[in-house]
Amino acid sequence: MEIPYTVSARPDTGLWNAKIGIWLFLASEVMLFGGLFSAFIFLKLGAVADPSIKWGGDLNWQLGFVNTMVLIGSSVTVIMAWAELKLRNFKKFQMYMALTIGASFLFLIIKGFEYYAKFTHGIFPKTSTFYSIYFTMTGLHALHVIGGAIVLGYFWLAGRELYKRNPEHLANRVEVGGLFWHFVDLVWIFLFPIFYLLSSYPLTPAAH
Amino acid sequence: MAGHSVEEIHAAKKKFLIVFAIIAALTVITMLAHVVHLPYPWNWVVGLAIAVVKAALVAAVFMHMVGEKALINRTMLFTVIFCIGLMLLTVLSFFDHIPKLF
Repeated sequence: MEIPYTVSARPDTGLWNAKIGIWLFLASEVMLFGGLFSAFIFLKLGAVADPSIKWGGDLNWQLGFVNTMVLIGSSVTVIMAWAELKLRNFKKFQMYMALTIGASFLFLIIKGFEYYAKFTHGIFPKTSTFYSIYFTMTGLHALHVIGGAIVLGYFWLAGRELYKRNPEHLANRVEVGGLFWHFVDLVWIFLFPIFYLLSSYPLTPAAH
Repeated sequence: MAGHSVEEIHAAKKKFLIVFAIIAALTVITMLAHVVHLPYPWNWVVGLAIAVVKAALVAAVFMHMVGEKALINRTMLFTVIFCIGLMLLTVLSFFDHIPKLF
C-alpha cells in the first residue's frame, strides 16, 4: 500500500503529512520542556525564599561552551545535508550527515565525561535541588540527542537505497529529522546559560 | 521551505552559514558577559536575551519558519504563548498577590 502525501502536499493543509506531524510533535515537546523550565523557576525561587533548601551547583562552563558550539555546528551540518540532497549531491549529503552524527557522538561523550566527573566526586541527583533538576533536564535532553542520532544515522546508512527509490522523499524525511535536531539544539541554547552560567546567581532582587 | 529552485538552495546555503556565524558569535558574547560578572539583574537579562535571539534565529532560518505555512506558524505561536503563560503562572504563584487583594 502506498502511503499518501509523502512528497506532494495534501490539498486541505497544503503540507505533506510528515511535516505537519513533526510540527505537532514539536509543539508537544515545547510544552514538555516548558513544564521542566517552569519547575526550574519554581525550585530556584523556592531555594531563594528558604535558606534551609540546599541549592548547590558547580558546573564546568568551559565544557558547556564547547558542547554548545558542537551542537550549533551540527545544526548547520544537518541543514547543509538537506540542501545538498535538494541539489542532488548525494556524496556531499553523506559527508554532512556523517559530520552531524559525529557531532552528536562528541556531544554525548563530553556530556558523559561531565556526568562521570560528577558521579566520581559523589555528586548525584539527590545531592541538591540544583543537581536534581540539572540531571533531569540535561538527561532528558541527552535522550533526545540519542534519539535524533539514531534517526539521522538511519538516513546516513540506508540513504543510498532510499535515494535510488525516491530522492525527494528522502529529502523530506531528512527535513523532518533535521527539524527535530534543530529543536534539540534550541533546547540546549536555553539549558546552557541557565545551568552553566546563571544558576548560581539569585533570581530575585531581595536575595541579591 | 517554500521555494526549491537550485538558485534558491544555493542562496539558502550561504544564509545558513551566515546565521551559524552569528549564533556562534552570540555564544561567545554570552561567555564574555559571564566572565565579566555583570551585576543583577543584567546577568539574567543579557544571558536570557541572547538565548532568545539565538533560538529565534534557529527557528526562523534553520527550521524554515520564515516563509512557512500559516498553519504551522500559528500552531507554534499558540504553543509558545501557552508555554510562556505556564512559566508566568509559576512566577505569579510564588509571589502570591492574591492575599494582598483581601
